[in-house]
Amino acid sequence: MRVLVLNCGSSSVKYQFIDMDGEKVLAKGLVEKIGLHNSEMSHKRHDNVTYTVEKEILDHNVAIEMVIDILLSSEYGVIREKSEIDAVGHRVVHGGEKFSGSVAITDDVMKTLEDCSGLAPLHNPPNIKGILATMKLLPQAPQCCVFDTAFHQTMPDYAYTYALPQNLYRKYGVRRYGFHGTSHRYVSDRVAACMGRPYIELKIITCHLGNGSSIAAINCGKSVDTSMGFTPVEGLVMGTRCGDIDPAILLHVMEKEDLTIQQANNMINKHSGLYALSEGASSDMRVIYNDGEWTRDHVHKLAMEVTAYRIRKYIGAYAAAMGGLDAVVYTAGIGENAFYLRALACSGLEFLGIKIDPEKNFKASAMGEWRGLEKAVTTDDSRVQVWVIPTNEEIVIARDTSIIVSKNKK
Amino acid sequence: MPINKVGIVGAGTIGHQIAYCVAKKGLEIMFVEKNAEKQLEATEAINILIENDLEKYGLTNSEKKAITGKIAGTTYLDDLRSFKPELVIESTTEEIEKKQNIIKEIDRTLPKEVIIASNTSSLRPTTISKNAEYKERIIGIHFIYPVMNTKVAEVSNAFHTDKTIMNRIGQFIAKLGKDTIVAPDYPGFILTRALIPFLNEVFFLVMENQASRRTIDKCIKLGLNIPYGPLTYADYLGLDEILLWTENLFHKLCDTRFQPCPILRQLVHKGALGRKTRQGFFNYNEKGEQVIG
Repeated sequence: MRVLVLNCGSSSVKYQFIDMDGEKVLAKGLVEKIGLHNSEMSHKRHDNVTYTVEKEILDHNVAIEMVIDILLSSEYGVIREKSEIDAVGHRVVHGGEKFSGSVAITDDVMKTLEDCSGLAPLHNPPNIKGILATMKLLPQAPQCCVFDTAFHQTMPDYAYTYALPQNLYRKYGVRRYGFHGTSHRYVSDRVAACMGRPYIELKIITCHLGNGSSIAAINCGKSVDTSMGFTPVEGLVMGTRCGDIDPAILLHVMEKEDLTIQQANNMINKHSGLYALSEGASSDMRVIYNDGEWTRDHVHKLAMEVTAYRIRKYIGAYAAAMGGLDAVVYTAGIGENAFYLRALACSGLEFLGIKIDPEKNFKASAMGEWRGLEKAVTTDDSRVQVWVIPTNEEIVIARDTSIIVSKNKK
Repeated sequence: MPINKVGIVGAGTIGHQIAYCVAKKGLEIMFVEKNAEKQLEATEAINILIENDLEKYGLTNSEKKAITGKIAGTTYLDDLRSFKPELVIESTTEEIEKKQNIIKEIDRTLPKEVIIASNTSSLRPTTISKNAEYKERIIGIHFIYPVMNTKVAEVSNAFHTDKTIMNRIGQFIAKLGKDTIVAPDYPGFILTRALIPFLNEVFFLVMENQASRRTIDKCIKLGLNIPYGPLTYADYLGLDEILLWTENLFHKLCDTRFQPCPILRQLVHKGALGRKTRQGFFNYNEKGEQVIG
């Protein structure tokens, strides 16, 4: 089965076309700046033949039509007929409480997705646009959605409930949902395989550290807690998001600085995190690291330590939440490459049984020979293993889609 | 066809705010001012909006760069031809003959597919479009001060306006994060018609010395729970513009409710036009902040 995986953002469409026989990526690419006259498309085939174009792309319909056309193109494509696209898997950010797993798209599902839009007003509407466009362009191909929130739906009520007036939960669904679920699910499953132990017996903490970051506690194959909450702002220090703060700070600052709701929202989403800690120097962890010079610069050192301390605190908390720990996984851009942050976050956790091997840890980084590989970075006698595992959300979406479609065919 | 490029003719108090709001949403802007000095003033005014927004976390540095790159200014209307906008917004002073002439000039300059919107507070779109050849592409919009914060814009078809234009303008206004209120083709639409008698009555309170200006402003601001007191709001808008709106409504509606309060006329005649001249109902420092006392 060949599955087209689509991730539709507000002005972009990312795609991968995967042959599930051998899980080979036949082509992938990105359409950006949809709706503007200088939209761009970049496409790469499995044999590294590339195609880029800049032109006006009016909407998601046109963007997805271009994706299909390029897949069909004799010069850059990989198929001859639309019917060779056997199924389409969509990444959908918010499934609310309705979806605890991936589903085939039906009229009822579409209606529920619309209902969930209020919880993710920036993300769900473009996801829906992408689904509608694909239904029109590929009417023969069954479609599925895979939710960022679904994996965390196994959290117990005491982990997802906020100590706020409970009518806010009933009226507006205010509770912890968590995000990056597809990534947490993939890497936790992989680490079990790498360790050669049954997934359903392990206590795992997964750290997805990218521009947005979250950490999850996975006990016996189920997410039991995660750091992102009602929105993706809560939890760890991120590129430009603040993560955990005293909520009263927001009210105090809004009053003192006479901020509107939109400005306050921007402050915690776009002006905080590493960007704020580095006094506006950068939201990029590599710039803060500065080839190892960060220890000499008070501002950068503090930025790094605040970020690492928050991760360390969560690892301790989640080990306590699960009553033990077998493995910690680092994934995504920062998690897979920032060996210094991993080392700092795990320092002082020897009491938990974590002993980082500095040499292995460095090898599994942007500069090391294990770059892009699944590797343990702890010493051989470390009771808890720490792994670096590259994430692959697209393959999860493709696998789920393929399973659902095959099952429905029967 | 969506609107990606917008020309703005007249980048004064409201025009430069429209330019900023439109550019902030990723659209390209070219504004036209009558001379180099006015062009510079508009550019500086836009820069102040950007800096204020940056300071209040409304923008990031990279967004600032992107926005600045999307705004160009000129003193030649003809430059709009090569800019190829889908929409031109005329936002000059509320004097009917001047507006009619500018609209006529824009109409002559740009191909007939380009929508022309007249940003007006107190005039009828049908009257404004009187001298244009392609009247069907002309529509009235009322962007409300301060354009960055207000959540609605009034839109009104003129008698000849092509009915498909309203839909495109509605999409454009939605992109700016505002609701469209379809208003009647009648002087003052909805908002100005209600606002002017209210402001005028406040000016009478001042003239009659019923309370200090500051007391009046505070009472109404806090009592109605609105962001500005009416005297401050009038100073921000420009007292000369308010006088024009009031006179337009008075002449067109022939109703004494719209007869301008003498104190408004007096202030305008002595050049106290509000914040822009640092003197109006209140005084302002060089940063535009109200001077207390």
